[in-house]
Amino acid sequence: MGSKDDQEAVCRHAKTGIPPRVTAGIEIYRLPRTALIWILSSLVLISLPHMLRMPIWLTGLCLFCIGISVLIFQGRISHPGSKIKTTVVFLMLVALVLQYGRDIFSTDAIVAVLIVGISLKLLEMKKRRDVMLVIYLCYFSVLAEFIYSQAIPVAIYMSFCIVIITSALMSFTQT
Amino acid sequence: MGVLSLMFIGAVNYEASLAFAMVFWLIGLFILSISYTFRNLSGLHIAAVAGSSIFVGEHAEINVILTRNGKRIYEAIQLNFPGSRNVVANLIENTEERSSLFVVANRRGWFSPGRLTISTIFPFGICRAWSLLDLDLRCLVYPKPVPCDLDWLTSQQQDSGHTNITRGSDDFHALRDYQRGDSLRHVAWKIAASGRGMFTKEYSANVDDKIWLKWDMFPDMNAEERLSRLCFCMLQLDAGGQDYGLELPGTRIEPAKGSEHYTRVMKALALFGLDESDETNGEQR
Repeated sequence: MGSKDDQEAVCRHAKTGIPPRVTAGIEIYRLPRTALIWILSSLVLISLPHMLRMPIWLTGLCLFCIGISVLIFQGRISHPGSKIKTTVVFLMLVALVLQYGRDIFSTDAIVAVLIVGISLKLLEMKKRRDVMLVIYLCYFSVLAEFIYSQAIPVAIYMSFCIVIITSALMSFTQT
Repeated sequence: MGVLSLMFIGAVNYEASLAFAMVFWLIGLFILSISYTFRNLSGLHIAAVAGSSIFVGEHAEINVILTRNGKRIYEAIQLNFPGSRNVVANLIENTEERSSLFVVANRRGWFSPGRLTISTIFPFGICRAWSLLDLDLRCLVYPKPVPCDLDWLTSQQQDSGHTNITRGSDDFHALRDYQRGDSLRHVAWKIAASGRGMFTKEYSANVDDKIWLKWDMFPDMNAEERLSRLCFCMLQLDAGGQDYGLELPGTRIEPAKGSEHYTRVMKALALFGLDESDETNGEQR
């Protein structure tokens, strides 16, 4: 049953010639706020023990990426374009080669690549898949820590990290 | 699963027992998530109501009501129809959640939005539980109003000998003193505004105000174009509070006004040329 108001609205539209239509926009994936906090804190927690062995510029990169991802979330800057992304990835590869030289296939270098990967992926959390990948990589870096040490304090600390990462996994399915 | 097997290979390679423990723990999480995700969808009651009638090109509103029994909570349930946006519903503190979905109607007649997809990835996002519901939803879609020159059309009609009194003198003829209870719509406001007292316009005796909307009014057009223009004329007349009748091939509705008449005429326009059995089906529901 069309109400009187509806009919009048349609009449008005009919006169102006603009159809009363709402165009459906492109659906953009919005990361829940809590999920971002959980993901960032799990990244900080898992990279802390690694950072002691890593070069200092990697810590800088990590913090820089966290800052940028918060800014992207707030909407102050947009996602980086493909040119910037390619350049940054290339620069990082050069930096890693320069840093590790011949030991590029050592465990240290692989873990460094992992950390660089997570940090850069933070800048590209556009879809649900990207977020899942960040979380999976976080699990991976917990695994990497166990390669270095399996002491009881490390085990306790890492189980705490796993709880945080799993919370991140849970939080991004909520709204 | 791919990620888990990679992790397992890593654990085997480095022979780290804690890494094994972690991988097995994650496998456990994966298996648990299957049942948790299933639980997040099972036991829900779903009801849906199609909204009011719309015009072609507009969004049909469909209200979906989710109800839970018992204390179990449901989170992040996604609802969508083909072509509509995702709507997320939560049943945490409330026992009933009502959400509105919008689907574009591109064709006149009875509109059915297709199958409702209800899905959830809660709690871990690893598995997705989903279900397709074929709900018995219908709403009537009217033709899209297309502007045309209504005054010209009605004057054509008057010239063609349907009535012998012109409208201008008719108003004067039928004025009588205002009585309590007369419809305010029929008060001659122009006269009232000039301070000559309240008068009521009499319509009882004249046939002139009844306007026939006819299929033949728009020559050289196809069916949809004609229906669209008839729909526009009808809306204009209805807004003006005039009587109007409809004459389509095979359908004839006597001039009247009011919301019931409006619905009848609109329904005739919407269902013109469509399957008749479709219409009876719709009325039963």
